Amino acid sequence: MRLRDWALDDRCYAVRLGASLMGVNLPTLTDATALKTGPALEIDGGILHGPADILQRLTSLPEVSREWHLGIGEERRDAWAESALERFSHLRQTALLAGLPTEGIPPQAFDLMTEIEDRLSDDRLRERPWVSGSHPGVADILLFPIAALSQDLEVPLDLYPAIRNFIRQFKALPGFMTMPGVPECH
Amino acid sequence: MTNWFPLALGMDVPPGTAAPARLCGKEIALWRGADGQIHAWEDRCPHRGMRLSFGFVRNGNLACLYHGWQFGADATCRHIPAHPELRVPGTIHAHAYQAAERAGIIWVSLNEQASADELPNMDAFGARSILIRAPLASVRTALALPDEGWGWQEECLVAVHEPEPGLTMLHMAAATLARRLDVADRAKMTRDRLEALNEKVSA
Ligand code: FES
Repeated sequence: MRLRDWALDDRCYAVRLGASLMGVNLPTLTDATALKTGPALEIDGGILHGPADILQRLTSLPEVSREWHLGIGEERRDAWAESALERFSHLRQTALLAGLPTEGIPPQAFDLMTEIEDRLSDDRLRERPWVSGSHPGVADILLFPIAALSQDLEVPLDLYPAIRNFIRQFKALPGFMTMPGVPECH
Repeated sequence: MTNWFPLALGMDVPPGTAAPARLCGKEIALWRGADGQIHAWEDRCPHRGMRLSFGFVRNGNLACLYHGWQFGADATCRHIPAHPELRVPGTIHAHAYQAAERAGIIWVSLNEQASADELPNMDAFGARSILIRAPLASVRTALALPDEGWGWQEECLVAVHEPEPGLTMLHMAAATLARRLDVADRAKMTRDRLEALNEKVSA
């Protein structure tokens, strides 16, 4: 098993973060195509693409605790979280590659943050501590890079208290690791 | 002239944490010690200007993330890790503002003389702080709020502040714990309505 990885790609970070949280030893191979197409997992002689599918595959490894599976009756939100991460990744690449300072924060960045904030905020009032339910799961891992790297889009976090709360809670998980180049202070 | 500004819900700054806030672009660090007391300081470390809201709360002090200077509840510097033996002169301190917690909301005044009597005196439970992409003046008019920027409407406290020009934070607190979900839904509906209105105006 090996991850085709680009260290500074947010989707690749989600997979490395997930492996670290689940206690999976995941060797990586630096591969520039991952910057375009996202992470790819070499496993059982085949290749798996897409951060959600890869993370779900990791949860089924024998060494991973059953806690990473959804509880009975819990709604699966991985597809929503993956599409949010894809949208974010696109916005972030555009922002980081812009040669000139761009004109303010793109409205799509606000839209995305609002969508996540609404969900986290409703969950909190319903006493659902994680996006995935009573335990953090794949959807939480997919959302974390958006929350932590939103500074790259210059979105001020004082506008999103539920996202701040999510970041704080997530960082306290055993096995948490930051992305290279991301200051610890956010 | 209003003295007090509603900056956040109390529940969004849990004990032992710090959080950033802005008031018309002015950066403010909110933090709460284990004793539950809320503090509002200028978001700037007196040492080298690092944002104090990035810091962490230790033993009732707020510690700056950069070089670890620690400031006590009275905002004076208590400890400088690079000089552990030093008795820190009392002249080194963070800049503190008046802070109060009422009706589930954290209120800050930049005016030292402001009286807490001006604040709401009922109990309420924070439900939602929500961003509205519209200027404060138009939000206040649409919600028929007085100049103080807050009022009781249908068993719920509605309060607004302006983090930066063109953006408004709407804070809503419910009269009972059980009504918080309804109030949070109302906050979302209000946001959607006012943003649509604002888009029409600017189009
Ligand atoms: S900048 Fe805060 S301790 Fe140095």
